Amino acid sequence: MDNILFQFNIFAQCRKYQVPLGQCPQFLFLVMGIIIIVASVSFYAIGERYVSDPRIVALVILVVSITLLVIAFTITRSFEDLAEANRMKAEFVNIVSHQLRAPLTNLRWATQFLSSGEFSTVAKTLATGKESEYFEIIKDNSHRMEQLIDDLLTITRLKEGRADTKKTKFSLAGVVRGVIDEARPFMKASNISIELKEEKNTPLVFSSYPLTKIVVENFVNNAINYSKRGGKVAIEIRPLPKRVEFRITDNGIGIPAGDQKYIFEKFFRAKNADKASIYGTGLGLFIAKLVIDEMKGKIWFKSRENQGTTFYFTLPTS
Amino acid sequence: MSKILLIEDEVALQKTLGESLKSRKHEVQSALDGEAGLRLAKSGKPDLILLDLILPKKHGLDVLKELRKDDETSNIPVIILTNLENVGEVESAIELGATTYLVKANYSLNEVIEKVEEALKKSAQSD
Repeated sequence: MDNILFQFNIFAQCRKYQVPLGQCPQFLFLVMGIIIIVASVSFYAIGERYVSDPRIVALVILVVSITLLVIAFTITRSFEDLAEANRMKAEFVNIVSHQLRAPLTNLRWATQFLSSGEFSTVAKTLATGKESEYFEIIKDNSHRMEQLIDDLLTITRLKEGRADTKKTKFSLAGVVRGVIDEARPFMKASNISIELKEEKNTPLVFSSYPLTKIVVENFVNNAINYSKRGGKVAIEIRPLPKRVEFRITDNGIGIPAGDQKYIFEKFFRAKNADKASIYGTGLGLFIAKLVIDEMKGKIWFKSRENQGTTFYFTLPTS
Repeated sequence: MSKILLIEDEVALQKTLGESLKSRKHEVQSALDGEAGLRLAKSGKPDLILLDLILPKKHGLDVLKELRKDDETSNIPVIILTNLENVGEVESAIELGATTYLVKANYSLNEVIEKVEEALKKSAQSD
């Protein structure tokens, strides 16, 4: 019964598709139906009254026909949009399942090999401490899955308006210092140093604290991951009129010119990042752009392959 | 003992699968991208190739195409090892003469090794 009622509740159906009323096929069909009924009744009334002047009837028919044509065109377009959304969703599920299956397979096969008879043979003939290499695989791949799930949840929350977008005033340099402290073990492991410079009198930013922290984490982690061993990363924070600018420069592998236009796209990974076997979900920069756009800031970058990259973003102060 | 070429960009899988095959007394060569894999296939003449599809530098299906074009590599059995369940790609791989198409997440390490040994046996019989 509820299902039948739902079929008649056009507004609920449009909400389900998450499209505005003007692009919702059910709603547009309803509008078209109402126009056809009103037009038929009007033709009858007008025909009866102005039958002596057929030009008025012809004009009304013309106007109504054009209106119906525009609505029919909009309905066709909205069906196309829904079909496209459906295709993108299928592609998204395909990519996500591939991205989740890769670390899952690594985990399964590493544990199967560790517990197999073959492993004891290999461990005996090769150097000791062989287990630790496989434990490292297990640790890395668990982290990989966790990171992918976190990124996907952040995107879904942002898209559905469920993310913590409540804006407060805080120091951007304070967020950066916290993120650098958390990243110290990785910096030490890759022998990378990060220098933070904040210009005097930089005002507080007006933004969502948790989302801004995610963006800074993405940039700091990228700078560490894509820098060469012993690399130096510089972060500068400076005031601009009504905004604060953040910039992070690394002397890492850079982004090839041909890949630069895709860098903020979902699941995009630059060719040289793949080549260098640097793991990434391809979602970090997509999230950063989503957040900065939501916070009414700007985001951009300059990069040269094999020389390094500078990413910039601004956040409003009020 | 057979010579097996593993073209796979996941270092972890190269390690587990490679060492597992070595422990079964196979000789294993590995490549992390499509181009390097193709070079090793031409120079090393392996008895069997395990080929991933999403590879840096050259897609697995392009590697397979080139292997089939070259007389010296056209008869090497190729097992596609991927996590993509794309019907179009399965069909293309089979059309190009892949021996079998395995979705990694659906197989245990042992099952993959069994498939490898089965393919090696079949190929030895037909020679």
